Amino acid sequence: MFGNYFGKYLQEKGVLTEKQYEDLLDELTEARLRLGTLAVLNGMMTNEQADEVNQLQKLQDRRFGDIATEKGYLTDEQVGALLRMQGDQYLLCIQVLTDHDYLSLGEIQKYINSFKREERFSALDLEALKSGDLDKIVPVFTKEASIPPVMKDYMALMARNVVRFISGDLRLKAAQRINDYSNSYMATQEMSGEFKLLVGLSGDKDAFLQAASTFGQEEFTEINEDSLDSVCEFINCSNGLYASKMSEDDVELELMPPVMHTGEVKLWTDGPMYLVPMYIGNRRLELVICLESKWHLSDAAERV
Amino acid sequence: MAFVRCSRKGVGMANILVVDDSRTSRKILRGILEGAGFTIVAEATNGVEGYDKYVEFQPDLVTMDITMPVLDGLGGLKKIKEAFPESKVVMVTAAGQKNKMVEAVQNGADDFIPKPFDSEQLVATLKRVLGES
Repeated sequence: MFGNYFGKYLQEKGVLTEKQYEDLLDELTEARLRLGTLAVLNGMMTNEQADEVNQLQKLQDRRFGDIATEKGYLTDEQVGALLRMQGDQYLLCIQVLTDHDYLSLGEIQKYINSFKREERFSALDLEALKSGDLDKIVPVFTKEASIPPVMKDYMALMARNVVRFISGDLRLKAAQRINDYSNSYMATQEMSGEFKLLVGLSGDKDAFLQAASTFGQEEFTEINEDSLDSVCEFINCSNGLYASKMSEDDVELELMPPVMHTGEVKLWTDGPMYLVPMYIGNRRLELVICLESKWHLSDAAERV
Repeated sequence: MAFVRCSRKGVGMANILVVDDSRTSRKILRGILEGAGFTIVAEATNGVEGYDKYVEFQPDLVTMDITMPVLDGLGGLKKIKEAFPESKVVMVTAAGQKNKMVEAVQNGADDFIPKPFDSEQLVATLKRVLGES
């Protein structure tokens, strides 16, 4: 994860080319073995157990290690050992940058300092990025005080689901409050119960099609009913996990049918609405969340 | 001697009606079920259409999504169970719809399968409901 952020900064500074940035991400992805794969390779779990935990993870929005220990497949000590084996993403990033002679160690330190200063990261923020732990990274981008806690929780869950279902190369930008949003396509779903939440996913064409293709297990090349349907279904599954988590706190939310929008889609509200830019490599997905029922949506068409 | 309870047909011949408003979901479900030897006799995109297709095709089992427009899965389940009490209906739901699940059980749902699909769990559930496990 650190490589996604720092690598992008270096690309924007002209230190890395776009190709070098993409190569960096590819190398980091290859080096980052999944916890389940590591556990099987080290004889701590069987393939079947790892598959079972991976599947449960999709249904329960919990960490692999937490589920595996609860099922009795791994001990806490084994999870700790596996996490150490998984490697330090920060050090791996430094290693790739120096191995390819993109930068010397001294230059890396200089750029990390300017990265921290220019992006206005605190020392703790930087440590969170270096940790590679999504649960620590998301709060760095959702710390604006005005964001209601239920929306912060939702942003964190959606980030986990993008990593889980679409791509591990997620890079977030700070959530920003907006009053209106428009695009030429969007997938949305409303949840209602103790509070109302409207969630929309849009973005640039490549990012949207990547999300649709990966989740729908089919190659989509156009924004149409089929690719929109796939993103609708991704939102539906993600919101199911969110509703499930909320119900653990006795907050019941009902999911409305997802809706696909095309044409000049406009969303506006007087209430809290936030945009969370989510990048997969250089492709931008946009998560829009509205709280309470003051939103207005134009050009909606029911799915089906 | 032990007897294994059997459905009218073996899995290889069991006819399934898939009711789901999501084309993506229907496509993934079809892939898993046909791969396991089931036959998809029809698809529907809401509870009303699901009931009509049930009447037309008389399938061995229905997979019924809960969250759908026009008439949701609970409505579709009620219509089918009222007219055909012997029908087998398995509800499909994204996680987190606890209240809906309780209501579905009260209205005769035979089982549940969660989204996103786990193919092994899905096939095992359908076989169990069909009395073949």
